[in-house]
Formats: sequence, structure tokens, C-alpha cells
Amino acid sequence: MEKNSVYEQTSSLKKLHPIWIGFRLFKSIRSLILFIVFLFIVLDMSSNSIFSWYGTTLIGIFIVYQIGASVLEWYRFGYYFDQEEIYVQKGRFVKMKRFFPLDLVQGINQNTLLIHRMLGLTSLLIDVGSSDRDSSIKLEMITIEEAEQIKKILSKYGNIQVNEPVASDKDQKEGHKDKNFTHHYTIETNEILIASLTSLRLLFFLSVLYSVYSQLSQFLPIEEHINKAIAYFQTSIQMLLLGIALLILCSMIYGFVKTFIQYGGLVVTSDAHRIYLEKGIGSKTSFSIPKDNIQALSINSGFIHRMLKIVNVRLISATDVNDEDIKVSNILFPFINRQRAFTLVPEVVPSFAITGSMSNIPKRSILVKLLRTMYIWLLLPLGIFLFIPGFWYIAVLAFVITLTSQIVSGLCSSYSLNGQFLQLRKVGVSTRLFIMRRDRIERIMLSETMIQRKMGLASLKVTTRARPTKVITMHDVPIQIALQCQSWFINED
Amino acid sequence: MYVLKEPTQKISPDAIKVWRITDAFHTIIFLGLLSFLLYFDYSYQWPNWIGIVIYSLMGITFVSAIIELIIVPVYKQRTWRYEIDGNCIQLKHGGAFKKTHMIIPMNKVYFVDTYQGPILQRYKLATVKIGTVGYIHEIPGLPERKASEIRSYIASLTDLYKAKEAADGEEQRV
Repeated sequence: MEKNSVYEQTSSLKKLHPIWIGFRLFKSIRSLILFIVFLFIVLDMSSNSIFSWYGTTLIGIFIVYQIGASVLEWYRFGYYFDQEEIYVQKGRFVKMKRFFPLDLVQGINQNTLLIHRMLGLTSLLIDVGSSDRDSSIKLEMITIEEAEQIKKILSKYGNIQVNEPVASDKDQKEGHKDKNFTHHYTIETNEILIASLTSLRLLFFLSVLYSVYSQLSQFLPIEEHINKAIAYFQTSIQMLLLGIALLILCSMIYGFVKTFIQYGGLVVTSDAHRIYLEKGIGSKTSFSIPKDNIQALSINSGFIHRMLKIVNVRLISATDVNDEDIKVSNILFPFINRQRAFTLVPEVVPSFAITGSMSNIPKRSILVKLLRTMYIWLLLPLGIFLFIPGFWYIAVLAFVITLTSQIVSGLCSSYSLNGQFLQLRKVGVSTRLFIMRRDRIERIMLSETMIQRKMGLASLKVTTRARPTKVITMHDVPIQIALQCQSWFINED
Repeated sequence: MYVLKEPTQKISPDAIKVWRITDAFHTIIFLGLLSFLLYFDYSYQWPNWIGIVIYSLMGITFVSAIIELIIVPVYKQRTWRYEIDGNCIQLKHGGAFKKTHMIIPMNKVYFVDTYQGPILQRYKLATVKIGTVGYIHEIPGLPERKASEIRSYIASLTDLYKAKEAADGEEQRV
């Protein structure tokens, strides 16, 4: 390592835990192993001696390269924090050094995989608030004490308050109560239960089951056993019903476990400037988002959830840190009673208000909507009937779903323009309500087709700032309302 | 209260020529590509349907090129309107079939550029590009001088906004 920098000599450069090399190697070689297994077993390439010689050599070179690269990457990576800056150096072959001022740090996200937790390690993703691609520093697999230390430094010298009781499970609840944290919401097991049982996971479960089966049957002779089992359940009506019931039960359990792992232990707290989300049962994730960065809200519910008055509340924000390992989600409440959401949202996000009364779009819009989607409910089914009549049920499904959703959309979609807020509700198979604030809207586009103009309707496209930009399209509002939206948008009180 | 003014500014009639030339170029290149494929089709005896597809693509290109070269540029030039004032930029285009009207508040403009390709240069025209978060909007076919006037006007206004914002100590632009 070059010793030309003053900083490297004076401050001790910190490194990631050496076990990181192992994880990194595992990750990069995992897909290779699958590929090799595929080649050898499925294509039976092992019999081809030329391939196997070259292949083994190539694989050997690749593995050696990966080992070298991982070690080098670990060796070259270093960071330290002082009272003003974060210093990071990295790069396997080309060395990069950068300083990030502490007061520009936008947020800090923590993710602890189960296996990391067992080793006493955790990962941090620090959003340094620069606009280029390097907008965050990822410190993978550092010790939990080190992470706490970093968070302390950041809350002491930086502009952000860091939620301290993240890693210590015991005093989690008390920790939130003191200082200025307000606790808003803890997810309950029965909420997860109801939501997972009513979400349409059955189809999903069957497809997972099928893909597992088709993959396994390539390697193992299980087809016979499966056929036997199916034949066994087909012996009588009772057995068939039992089989179906078992399948449904399994899918319910699967759905529950999956949802539970995803959202279990979700806690929402906030202070004056930020919202803090923590979740996870095995692997823990915590992240925070500045309230100022929230651009819009969306409140959604699926077909069955709408009847049960369960909604899903999402934040549309400009700080979407997308990292495959540290999954940051913008879901505030995954499934919550609608009434409760309407009382909690203004508490958590005081800069947004939800307007209760909204006006429906004119009923004549149904005609326009049907014409717009004609290719799905008319041309597609027609094409299926003509060319692939075997799939007639898809045609019927497309016809029924599109037609009903368009009619429902024409009857129930609504809008409201109230003070600073524009609210658009799009109804179809599912319901989506968007709440936007005037100063957070980037642009409004109004468009009208020939038919829309004849009927006095127009479409609105509202763009809000997010990564990537979020465009909310509302079709067929009255033209006067669309124009009113434009002048509302451009006027600042 | 500020009332939106109906956009009145038009783009240069010379833009029609520019569009015609660029479209002609594109059509010729595309037709050339297709005839190249047709040559391969003959010499390597590809399956029948490929020839059919190539011929129909050529036919469609030919017909659409006629419409695009003769009618569309005139129509586009006549219906394009823009308006720029201290508050916002308005872009309006389209007519009988579909009409769009875009509003960009001045304080959401991140950069403004003028752009000039060789053909635009020949007719002393330029395109103004207005950058916002995620999108770049264009006002095509403006006379050079007008374009640079617009650019400096918008730039001065957005500078003003930035100065104001910095003074307010509000949200930082990163």
C-alpha cells in the first residue's frame, strides 16, 4: 500500500472483518457452482474429455481469480471516521480515495442477517447524499460495537439523529420512549395472519411448488413418488378433497411464514425530523428516512383486502437506497386497518394531510376507458380465439377482468384538490390512493385525445421526485378540474 | 393570483425542412437496411415468411414516410406552442388526435442547454433542452438567437431561485 497520504499514517484505517472474504467468495462462486452442476448433470458434459480438461482449467482460473480479487478487495478497502469526515478507500486494482463530510450524511441503514448476528456482525449503509452513483458507503460485516460507535459519531457530529436501540433487542421499547422518539406502530401477529391468509398466495405457492418439483426431478427420480401420491389422492372424492385441503393448508402456512419473515417485528417510530423503521425476525433491518424527503404517499389495497378494509401505506421518497443486500423498503405499514392508517399517517408524516371527501370522475368516462383498453378486452381475446383456441380461458379471463375493472374504475375513481394537497384515487382490480403535495410535484402534464375532448375529459400525469421518478397517471378527469390542477400547481398561495 | 397564459410562442417554420431532412435520412437508412436483408434472403434462401415480413415492412415504411415527410412536419410546426415567463415553462403540442400540455415550474428546472446538430446549424436553428429531475424537455426548431435568449433567460431565473433557496437555507440541491 502506498504511504503517501497523511491520513493513512496518522489515523488508524479500519477494515472489514476478514470473514467478509469468505462471504464474498461464496457469493461470487455460488452461481458458478450451479452452472457447473447444470453442465455436468443435465448436459452430461463430463463425458466429453476435451471439454472437461479446458473446462476444469477455466473454472480453476476463475476461482483463483475470484480468490485473488476478493482478498485484494478486502485488503484495499479501508475507512475511518473523524469529527468532520468519513474517509473511504477502495478498489481492487484502481485505488479510489474519497472524503465525505459528516454533515452531508442523509441517513444510515442497518441490516443484520441471521448468520451475521450469530457472528456478532452487522452491515451499515450510509447515505452520503451525493448525487452521483456513489451515493452510499456500504460497510459490510463490521462488528456490532463498531456499528454502534459509528452511529454515535454520526449523531454527535453529523446532522442526523441515529436511532440507538437498533442492535440491542432488550431495551428496544424503553429506548424509544425516552428522548424525542414517538412510537407509532408495532405490527401484530394477527395482522400478519389475516393479511397473509387473504392475500392470493395460493397460486404463488403452487408455482413455487411446481418449480421446485421440476428442478428436483431433473436430478432425483422423484417423479414416480409424486405420481404415486397423486394417484393415491385420486382414489376417492373424500381423498381428493383432503388432498386439496392439505394443499391449501400448506400454502397458507407458506404464505404466513413468508410474510412473517418479511414483516415480522415491524416497528415504526419517529422524531422531529425522521421516520425510523425496524423489521425482521431472523435478519434485522433498520432504516430511517428524513421527513423532508417524502415526496408523496400511496395507500393501496388489493381486491380482497379492500373488502376487509386492509390497506398498505407506502412512502414515495427521493432517498431510495437500492442495495441488493441491505434491502430498504419504502413500505410504512404493510397491512393496516384503513381507519387506523388514516389516523396514524398524519401522526407519522405530519407534512401530509389526507382529505376525506373526494369527488368521483364523471360516469361518461367509462366509455373512454373501454375504448382505451379495447385491445385487451376485445382484440386480445379475439386473437386467442382465432389462433390458439386451446387457451380460451385466458381470453375469457382477460375479457371479464378488464371490462369489470374499467367499469369499476369509471364509477369509483376520484380526485380531490384541497389546499396544498392533490389526491388521486385509482380504482380497478386494486385500489391506489396517491397523496401529493404541491411543492413536491415536479411537473404536471395534461393530455387529451380526440374522444376525451368530445366528452370534456382529460388525463393528468403527475410526476414526483423519486428514484426513479414516479409518474402517476389519472385518466378521464373533467377538463375543468385538469385545468384547475394546472393553475393550482403553478400558484404558490 | 397568477393566471396561466395560453401558450402563444411558435417554433420556426424552417423546422419543417429540418424534420423533413432528418426523417428522410432515417427512412433511407432503414430502407437500406431492409434491402440488405432482402439480398441475404435471396442469396441464402431463408424461409418464406422472412421475405414476406421484409416486403411488408418496406411497404409500411414507404407509406408512413410519405405521410411523415409531407403532412406531419407541417402539422407539428403549426400546433407546437410554448410560453416562458418568470413562473413556469409551458409546452403544448399535438392537435386533433392527441394534445398534451406540460407545465414545468421554474424552480424545478435543473439545467438548460441549447443543442445544434449539423442540419439545424445549416438552417440557423437550435433546440433548447430543459432538464428536470428524470426528464429532459425539448423545444425544437428555434432560431439560434431566440434559443440562446431563452437559455439565458431561464438560466438567470433559475439562478435567482437557487440564490433565494440558499438564502432561505432550505432544502439542499444535491
